[in-house]
Amino acid sequence: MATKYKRPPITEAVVEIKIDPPIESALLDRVQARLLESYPLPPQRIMLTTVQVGDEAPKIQHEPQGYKLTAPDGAGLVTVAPNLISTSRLAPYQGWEPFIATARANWEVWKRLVGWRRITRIGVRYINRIDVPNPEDRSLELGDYFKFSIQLPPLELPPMTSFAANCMLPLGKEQFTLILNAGSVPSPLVKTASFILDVDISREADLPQNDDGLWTLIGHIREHKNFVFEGCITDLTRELFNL
Amino acid sequence: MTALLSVPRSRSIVEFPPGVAMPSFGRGADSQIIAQRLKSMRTLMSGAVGNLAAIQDTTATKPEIGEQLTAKLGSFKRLTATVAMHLDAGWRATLFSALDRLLDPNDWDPEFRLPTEQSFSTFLRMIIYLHPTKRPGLGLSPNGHFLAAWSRANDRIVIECIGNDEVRWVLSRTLDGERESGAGKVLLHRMPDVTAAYDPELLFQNGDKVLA
Repeated sequence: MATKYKRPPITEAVVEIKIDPPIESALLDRVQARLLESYPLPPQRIMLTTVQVGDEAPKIQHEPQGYKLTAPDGAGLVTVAPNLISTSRLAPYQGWEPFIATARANWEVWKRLVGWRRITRIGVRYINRIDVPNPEDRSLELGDYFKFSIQLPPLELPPMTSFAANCMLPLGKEQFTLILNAGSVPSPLVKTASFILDVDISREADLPQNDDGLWTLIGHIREHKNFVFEGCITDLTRELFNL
Repeated sequence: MTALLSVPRSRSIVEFPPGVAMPSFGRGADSQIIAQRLKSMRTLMSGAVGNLAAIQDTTATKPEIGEQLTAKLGSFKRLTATVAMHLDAGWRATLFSALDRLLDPNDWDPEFRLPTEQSFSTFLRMIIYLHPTKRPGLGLSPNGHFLAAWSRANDRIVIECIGNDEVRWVLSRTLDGERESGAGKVLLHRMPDVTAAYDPELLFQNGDKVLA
């Protein structure tokens, strides 16, 4: 799932680190201001909207929760909130090493301003979009592209027009949890069918509370996410990434 | 029974399906699609009207044209990231330079309407669908539509990306010594068919790399 393919299907790679206790808003603003030096496009505020429904009219409250910052090329992102820092890389994905180096640099900025707080969750997520050229607008057999299936009842129904699957399971390795999302999405391309294969691997228990342990563990996730991704796709799908 | 999928035709990058846990925090176009679906699923299971997350442009309340142009520039670059795996890295850099130039606040004509994401989406989809090997000249129309132009000697095609896959094209070519012109307004997927008589492929080719 890294640069072994000519056109890796990764639309977003994410490394997220959650901490406790959350940081104060003034400190969050300082982190944001420091990160803006590397992510200078106009920042976007993440708002938490709460709707209270009772006997009276519903009350809607908007509270700022954090910032999403964007690099000059629009493909590098960092999200900061009181309890997390998340580094994302959109397409074109340029490989694990540069991505992790950026995530680590952002973590250093965060740590310098915030100090060390207890890490409560780490997650690595890779969202892949598999674009299948479909010039004839034909129905596609999912089994041609994926090693999982949607089992439908034998009702001789017409082909489905969309599907979505979400599952969470222990990975069975190093106390990691796997969240797998798969589904069809409207293709951003013409005469193309697109599918999302979203692999998220995280851990919340027995987390290392030092830098070496943290990044070693994140490095282990690299192998696991490749294992899961490659296990979900067929050779026909792999060919699409090298066309 | 193994599933078959009948794929509905899409018409824009700026298009999200109706919504379906909490994976790590992503902020790209695809993660937003997934987040929508998962939010619906959570709502179904919890039955509560709970917390709804949203993103706001911090510049949304600032009407200065310079900030609006900068916000648009960021938006177009993020949109490009949606399909960037299909674009040649060198051409992507050229495209971004062209966007920087077109949306430069110092050169902005106040009579022009701001370019739209829909028009830019159609432009990107057109480039990948028509797979030209010659890089187009880029421009903006006064009504905020992206223009792409290819020319060779006296022959030329200009395509105006209106949005939602709608394009307007104007072509002039010399065929067998006779000057011919044509124009039309079609959905993008029909472009090859309606322009075939003019053999536009010659305009689109010279060996430059546009796609990855």
